[in-house]
Amino acid sequence: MTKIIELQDVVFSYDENTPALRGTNLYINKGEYTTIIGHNGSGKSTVAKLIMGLLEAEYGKILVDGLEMNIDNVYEIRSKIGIVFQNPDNQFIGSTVRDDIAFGLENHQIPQQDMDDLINTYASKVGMINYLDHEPTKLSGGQKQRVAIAGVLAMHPDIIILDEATSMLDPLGREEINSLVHEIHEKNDMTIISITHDIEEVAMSDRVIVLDKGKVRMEGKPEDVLKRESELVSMNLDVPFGYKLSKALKAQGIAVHEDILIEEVVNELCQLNSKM
Amino acid sequence: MSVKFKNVGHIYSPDSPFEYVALHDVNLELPLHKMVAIVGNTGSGKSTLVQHLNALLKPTSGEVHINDRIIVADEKPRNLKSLRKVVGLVFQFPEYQLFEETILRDIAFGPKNFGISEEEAEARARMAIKQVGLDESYLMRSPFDLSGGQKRRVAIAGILAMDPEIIVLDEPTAGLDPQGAKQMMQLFADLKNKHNKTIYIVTHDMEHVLNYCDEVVVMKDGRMIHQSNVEDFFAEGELLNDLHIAPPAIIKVKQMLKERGFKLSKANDFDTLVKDIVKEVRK
Ligand SMILES: Nc1ncnc2c1ncn2[C@@H]1O[C@H](COP(=O)(O)OP(=O)(O)OP(=O)(O)O)[C@@H](O)[C@H]1O
Ligand SMILES: Nc1ncnc2c1ncn2[C@@H]1O[C@H](COP(=O)(O)OP(=O)(O)OP(=O)(O)O)[C@@H](O)[C@H]1O
Ligand SMILES: [Mg+2]
Ligand SMILES: [Mg+2]
Repeated sequence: MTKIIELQDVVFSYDENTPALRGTNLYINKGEYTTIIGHNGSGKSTVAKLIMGLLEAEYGKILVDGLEMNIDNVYEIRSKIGIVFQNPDNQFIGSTVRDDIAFGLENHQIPQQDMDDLINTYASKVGMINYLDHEPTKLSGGQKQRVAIAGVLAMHPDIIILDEATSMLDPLGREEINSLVHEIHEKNDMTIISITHDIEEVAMSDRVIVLDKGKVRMEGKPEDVLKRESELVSMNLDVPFGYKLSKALKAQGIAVHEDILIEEVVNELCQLNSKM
Repeated sequence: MSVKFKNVGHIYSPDSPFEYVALHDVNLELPLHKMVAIVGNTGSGKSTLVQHLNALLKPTSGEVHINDRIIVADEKPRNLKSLRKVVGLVFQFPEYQLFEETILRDIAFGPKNFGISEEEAEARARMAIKQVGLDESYLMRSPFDLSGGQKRRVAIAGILAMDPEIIVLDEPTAGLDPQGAKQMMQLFADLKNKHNKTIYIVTHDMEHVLNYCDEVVVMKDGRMIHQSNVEDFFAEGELLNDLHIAPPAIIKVKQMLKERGFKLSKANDFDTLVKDIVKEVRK
């Protein structure tokens, strides 16, 4: 596996008394879908902004696709990354949804004809095709998030960072957008970093990084990390429903594995049921 | 005393090229001293609906009744302050609610504005910040120098400090960490159960609807299309399907197992489900 992003011993504080990152080490594998979780204020958005070069580390090294973050490289690094911010209002530039998506594409020198196609394709993929002439700041919360996601997907960057990009979607909408991101990720060999509080989304990712008070406390495959219940709960996090259920059944002497996905637990139970 | 929508319509930017009808003829009575969930897909009109409850938005047709106050189209509501003392609203985007230099001043602003002494207002701020899971050290910081979830907590604290009878929350747990979200829902449940408050909550989290709410209102394309108690709402898989609402995990598991021949009882709690599955597998 190639590491496409690395943070080495990174220290960052917004002001003296509150260090946000306290010697953070983490890496992101190229082509993987990585989730980052952690309590409110653990430093997730700060990590995202440092990777974009929007904040400057006090100490330590940040590497993106072989380039070290510094004044000379920051624009080249940014051109490889598309980010959806936690509050989508902070990224709207265009006065209509169409212009807003177009703006990102113009920066990537996409020809006009292709641009219209891309705008239509991605606006319909996120269910916003009927809103192309609306003003982004006057949309509902979920509509804003959908537009912000369409803008970033349409650009096809090498790396996509989603900072709680689906936090205001209804459960079905979230599933749709998550599978859209997974589909684009697989087809295009992109690297996805998704900051989220949605444990079910974490369960579907390739790798998860857990931040706690500005430090990485755990990392690895979701099926390993998401079973460490007492640690996760002590960090204000949680385990998936599938794990809670399979664990409770196992404790009652039912021969199921401790799975994190509901579907797997149900399948095992059905096999047990038919064998009897 | 009650909260009622009578033939309420809301049009954004009327008579302009950007005119948009966000509510169509909504008729709705919301109970007091209950926790009511307002659910529905992206853009269905939930935020528009709840902003009528403290006259942040006015109906463009119809009437909104809040206790003995009536807010009607084409009439400037008078004495808004007294309405906003009764109904506190937490916005979907908390940053638009924060404005003071320090968190202490931000939270104390509401109560002071309603005539509470400076001392009492600050005491309330100290209590409210703890209720939302932050410690007093935050009080002297700027409300803008916070993480997303911390901003939401401060915005909620600001409304709690006003101590309104009716608390309206627009996606109050979006962006909160999982334990924080649970603690917040428990706090709202306590406010209802122990302090007799009325809670109206816009949410996409069906686990919260199932575990904490009494009633559900469903919005779709600007119309109110369903209102019932929570039990009835989740009892009908088909209804949820029709409404395009993904059920909470426990109900999803029950549906999947039932389709494959498991016999399960009606109750939607974890312990019953475990007991039922054990019984079925051992049968
Ligand atoms: N602009 C700022 N000025 C000062 N402190 C800040 C600022 N932004 C964030 N912080 C502080 O830095 C720490 C890390 O914040 P960050 O936004 O990275 O957290 P997060 O993990 O993204 O949290 P959340 O889940 O709430 O979004 C927090 O303690 C926060 O209070
Ligand atoms: N200020 C505005 N001007 C014009 N149209 C608006 C405005 N605010 C909302 N709308 C439109 O009104 C409709 C309802 O929006 P509303 O914010 O009430 O939805 P919602 O149910 O809260 O959605 P979400 O779950 O995404 O927050 C949407 O189609 C939206 O685009
Ligand atoms: Mg954040
Ligand atoms: Mg809304």
